[in-house]
Amino acid sequence: MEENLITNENIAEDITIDSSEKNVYLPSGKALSSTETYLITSSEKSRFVALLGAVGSGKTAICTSIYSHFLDGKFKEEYYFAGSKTLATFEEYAYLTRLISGRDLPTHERTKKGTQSILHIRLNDPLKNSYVNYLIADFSGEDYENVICNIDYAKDEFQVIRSATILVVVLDGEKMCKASTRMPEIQQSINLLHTFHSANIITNNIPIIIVVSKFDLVQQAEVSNWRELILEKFSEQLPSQQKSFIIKEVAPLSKHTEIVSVGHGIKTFFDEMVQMKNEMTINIKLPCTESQFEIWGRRALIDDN
Amino acid sequence: MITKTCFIMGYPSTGKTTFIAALWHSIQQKKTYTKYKLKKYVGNQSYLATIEKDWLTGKEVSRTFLPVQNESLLLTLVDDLNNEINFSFPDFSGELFNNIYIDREISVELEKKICESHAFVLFLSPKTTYQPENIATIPLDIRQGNDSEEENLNYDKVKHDSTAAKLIELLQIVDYLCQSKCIKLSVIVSAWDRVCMYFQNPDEYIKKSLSMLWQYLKANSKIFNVKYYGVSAQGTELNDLKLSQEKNAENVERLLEKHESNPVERIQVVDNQGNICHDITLPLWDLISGE
Repeated sequence: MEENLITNENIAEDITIDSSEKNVYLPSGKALSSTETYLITSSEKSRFVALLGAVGSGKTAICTSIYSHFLDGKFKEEYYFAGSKTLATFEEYAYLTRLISGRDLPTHERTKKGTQSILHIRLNDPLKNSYVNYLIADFSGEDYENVICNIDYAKDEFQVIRSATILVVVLDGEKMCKASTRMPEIQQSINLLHTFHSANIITNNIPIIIVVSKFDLVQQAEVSNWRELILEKFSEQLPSQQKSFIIKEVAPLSKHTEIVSVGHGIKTFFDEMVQMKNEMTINIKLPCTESQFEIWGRRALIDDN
Repeated sequence: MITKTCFIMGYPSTGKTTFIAALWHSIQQKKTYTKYKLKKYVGNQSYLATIEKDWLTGKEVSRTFLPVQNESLLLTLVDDLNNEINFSFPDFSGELFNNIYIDREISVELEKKICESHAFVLFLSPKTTYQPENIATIPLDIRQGNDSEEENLNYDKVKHDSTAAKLIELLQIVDYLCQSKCIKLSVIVSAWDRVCMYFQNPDEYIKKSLSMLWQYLKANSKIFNVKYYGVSAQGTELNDLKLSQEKNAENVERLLEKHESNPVERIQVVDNQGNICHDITLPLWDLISGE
C-alpha cells in the first residue's frame, strides 16, 4: 500500500440507523476486514503491516504486547496513541494474558483459518503533529502453512499482502532452540517469501523484519549463532532482498523473567517499524515534461514487478 | 437567556450523581462564592432535593438506576454578570454507558442528545479504575494455578477491559457521532481526596494512571478541547475498607460537624494548575465561559 497522504477532507463515516428499531449502530471495535480499512486508508496516511508465521509462533502475542505497551505508557512521548478502531479486539486478546483471567500462564486464542484479522492503531507524532495509521494484519498460521510453495493459493488468498508496507516474518523462538527444528523453521519462512515473490505479491523493495519470538526460550537454550544463521540463509536464498532484512528478537510473554523481561524487544521492534518510512522511499525521477499516461504506465510496471 | 446542554458521562460509581448533589446545594447557598448561582426552581426538581439530602447527611448518594433515571435536569443559573443560563444535563446511569460499550448501539434520542450537547463532562474515579497486570509479571509460585482449558468463557467486557480502553471508546463514540465538531470536554477525577497526596493535579494523575487515555486526548487536542479537574464532592472517603464501620461513621460525623454552617467547604475542586477551591460549578463554568 502506498502511503496515502493526508487529504484536506475527512471522509465521514455513515452513521447507520435502524429506523424500525430506533437505534443507532456504533462501530463494533472489532478487528477489521480489508474492505473496512478503506475508510482509514482513504482519509489519512496509513501503513499496512503483514504478520506472517506458523501456528503458535507468537503473532497475536506480538500485536497484544504492542497494545499493552501503549496501555502502560511504555512508549513515553516519542509518539502518542491517537486512537484505535479495534480496541475491543485488543482488549479481548489481552484478557488471556492478564491476572484477572485467573489463569496460570498467559496465552492467546489461535487465529482461525481463513481469518483476515486487521488490527488498527493510530499514532501521533507530537513534534511534527502528524498522524499515521498502522493496520496490522494477523494472518492465521494455518493459512501460512497452506500457502508455502503454492502460487495459486497465494494469488487467491493473499492478494492483500500486495498492499503491505512492511512484512514481518515471525520465527518461533521455541523452534529456534534445537538444530532439528531450527533450519526447517527458517527454511519455511524463506519458502514463503519465495512464494509471494513468484506470485508477484511482494517486490524486492519491501522491508522485511524477521522477528524471533519467545526469545526467553532462545536465551535459556543458550543458542548463540541464531542471528548469523538467519541472515546467512535468508541472504543466500533471497539475495535480491538482502538489503531489506532486519532481525529483531521479542519475548511478549516471557516465562523466564529472570533472563528476559516480559515484553522484551517489543519497543525496539515497534520503533523500527515506525522509523522504517525513510527506508521505503522508491526513488523515481519524473521529468516534468512526462505525460500523465507515461507516469501511470511506469507505476503499473512497478506494481507488476 | 441562553440555553446550554452539557452531556455528563461516566461508567458506574464514578461520582456523577454525587457531583450533581453537591452542585445542587452549592448553587443555592450564599456563604461560599460560586461562579454560578441558582436563579429559580424549574419544574419538578424533587430528585435533586433527594440526592442533596443524602449528600448533606454524609451518606453515599443514591445511585442512578436505569429504570428511574431522569431524562434531563434543567437548572436556571446566573453568573456574576447576571447572565442567565439554562443548564440542561441528563443524569444517565453508569449502566447505560456499560450497555453502550457492550452493545455498540444507542437510541436515536440519545444520539440526538449527544450531537446537540454544547459540552461534555467525563467522570472517572480512582476507586474504580482498573489497570491490568500481566500474568507473566507475577512470580510463578504465587500464581493462581488455574489450568482451565476454557479460555474465554469467563470474559466479561465490562469487568475485565481496562478503564483506559473503556474511556477512550466512549470518547471515540462521541467523536464518531459529533463528526468533526470540536468537542469541549471536562475530565473530572472524582474522589480526588484519595489521590491528592500523590499527585499535584489531575493531569498528572491521568498521565501516570491512565497513560493511554492521556495520550489519546493529547493527540486529539484538535477534536477535544479538554480541561482536567480533581473533585472531592464528599470531602472524604465515606467507607474506608481499612477502617471499621464505627470509625468511618465517626470520621464522617466529625467532617459534617466541622463544616456544619457551610457544608460546601467539604468540597474540594482542583484545577490543572493545582489551585484548590470549594466551587464545584467551576468545571461547568470553564466549559461554557470558554466560548
